[in-house]
Amino acid sequence: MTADPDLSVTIAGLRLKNPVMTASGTFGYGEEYAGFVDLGRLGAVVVKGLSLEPRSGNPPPRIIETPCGMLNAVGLQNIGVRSFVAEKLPRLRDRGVTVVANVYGESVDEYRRVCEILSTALGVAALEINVSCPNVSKGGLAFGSDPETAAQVTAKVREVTDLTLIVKLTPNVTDIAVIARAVEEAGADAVSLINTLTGMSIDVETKKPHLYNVTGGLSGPAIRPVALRMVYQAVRAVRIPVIGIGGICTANDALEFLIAGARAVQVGTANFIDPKASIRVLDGIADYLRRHAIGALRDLIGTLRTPGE
Amino acid sequence: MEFLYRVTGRGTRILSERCEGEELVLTGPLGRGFDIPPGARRIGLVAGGMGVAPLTYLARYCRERASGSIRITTYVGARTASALVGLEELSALSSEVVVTTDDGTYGTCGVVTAALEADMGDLCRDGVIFFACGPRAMMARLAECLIPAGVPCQVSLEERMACGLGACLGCAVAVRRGDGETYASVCKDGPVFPLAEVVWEGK
Repeated sequence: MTADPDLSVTIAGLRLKNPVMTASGTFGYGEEYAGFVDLGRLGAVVVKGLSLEPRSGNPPPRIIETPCGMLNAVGLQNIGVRSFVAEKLPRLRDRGVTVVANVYGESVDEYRRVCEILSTALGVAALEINVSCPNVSKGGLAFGSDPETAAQVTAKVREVTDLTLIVKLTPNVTDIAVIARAVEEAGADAVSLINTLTGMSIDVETKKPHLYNVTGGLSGPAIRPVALRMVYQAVRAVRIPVIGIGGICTANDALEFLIAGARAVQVGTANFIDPKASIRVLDGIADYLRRHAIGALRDLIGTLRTPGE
Repeated sequence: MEFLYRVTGRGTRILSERCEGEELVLTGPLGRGFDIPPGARRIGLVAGGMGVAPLTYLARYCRERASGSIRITTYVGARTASALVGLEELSALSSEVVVTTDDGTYGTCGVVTAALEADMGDLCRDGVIFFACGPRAMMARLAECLIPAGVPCQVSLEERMACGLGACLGCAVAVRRGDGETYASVCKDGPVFPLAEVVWEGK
C-alpha cells in the first residue's frame, strides 16, 4: 500500500489535518520552533497558557531534570492575552498554523474574559482551558481537582465562546472519570489529559528543594503509563473526544494513546529533547498506517483489544 | 570545533564518553553572545571556575580581529589548584594574568574579585571594558565593584535549561527593564547580559 493514509481527525467542529499537536508550555508561542518545524504541518499548535494580564512567573530555579522526565515550576509566565492577539497570533496566522489557545485564570471571571478576547480574535481555532496547573498556590489546582468548580469554569466559558472548547484535566485527582463527566455535562467539546503530576526533588548537599517553588509539575516519559491509564479511563467515561498527553516522545508512544481511544495527541516535553519531535511523531504515525495497510487514522482510534474481547 | 565543559551530570558524562569521529546532533548557535565594541583596545576578563571556557574563545577572537595593539588583562579564580582548567591557553592570549585560589594552592590566596579591586585604579584610567563568567557570588561582587565605578561589563550567565529556544521559560533570570524588573530567558535573551541589567540582590 503506497497511498498516503488519511490522517485527519475531527474534534467536535474542528477538523485537524492530523492528530499531532504540541502541548501548552512546551512550544512557546510557536514561532520559537519555526526554524525546526514547518508549523503548518502540525495538527495544531497549543500555545503557552494565556492570562488576562502578563504574568512574570516564579523566581528561579524553575526546572530540574528527574529520572525520565523533569519538574517545572515556571508559574505560568506569559505575555498576557492582548499581547498574544496583537503580536503573536498574526504571525501564526501567516504561517497557516491551526492555533489552539490555552487559557489560564485565577478566577472564573478571568477565564471568561480571556476566552471572550480570544473568541473575537481572527485565527484561533480552539480554546484549551487549563484548570489543572499545579504551580500557582491560589486557583489552578482547586478548579481542576473538584468536579463542581471544574464544571463551573467550563459552563461560564461556554457562555462566551462558540470555538471548540477543550478542557485540560489534572491527573492529581482520585477519579478522573468523575471530573471528565462533570466538564462534559457543563458543555466541554473535548477533554485533554494529562497535565503534569505534582512532584518534588531535594538537593541533599544543601538540603534545599531543587525548585524555588518547592514543588513542581512532573512531565516526560516518566508519566506516560499513568497518562495512558487515565486517557483509557476517560475514553470510557465520556462521549466527547479525548486528547492524549503525557510523555509522548515517539510515534509508538502516540499510537498507544490513539489505540486506547484518544482522538488526537499532544507532544510536550519531547520538544525540549528534540525540537523536531512533533514532526517525527507525525511521520511515524503515517509509516505505521502504511505498514498496517490502514487507510485512515480514524479506523485505528480506539481499537484496543483487551483480554476477553 | 572545540568545547570546554565540566562533567557535572548524566548528560555531560555521556558527552565525555563519545569518541573522535562519532556524530552528534548540535543545535546552535543559540542566544546572544558578547558584544565587543570594534575599537576596544583595553579588555579585562574575569573568570571563575568554568568561566574560563567562553572567555578563552573571546580572547582568541579579540586577538585575531584586532588590527592594532590590544591589551587583555585576565583574572582567573578557582577553588583550588586542581580546579584550574585551560589556564595555559588563556595566559598565552592575555597580556597579563592574575590567578587566585580560595585555598592558596596556586597564585594568590583569596577570591578573584579582591585581586581585581586592587588594580581598579589603573584599569579605570585606561577605559577598560570587562567581560566576565563565573559563579553568581563572583558576579554579584563584580557588580558592587564595577557598576559604581562606571566600568562597562558584560556577563555570561548559567541556568538550568530545557529547550534552549526561549520556549520552556525554565532558565529565568531577573533583569531590570525600564522602571521595573522582569524575567529574561538566559538561553535566548542571553546568556550574555550587561552586568548592570541583572538583578543580583536577593536569591
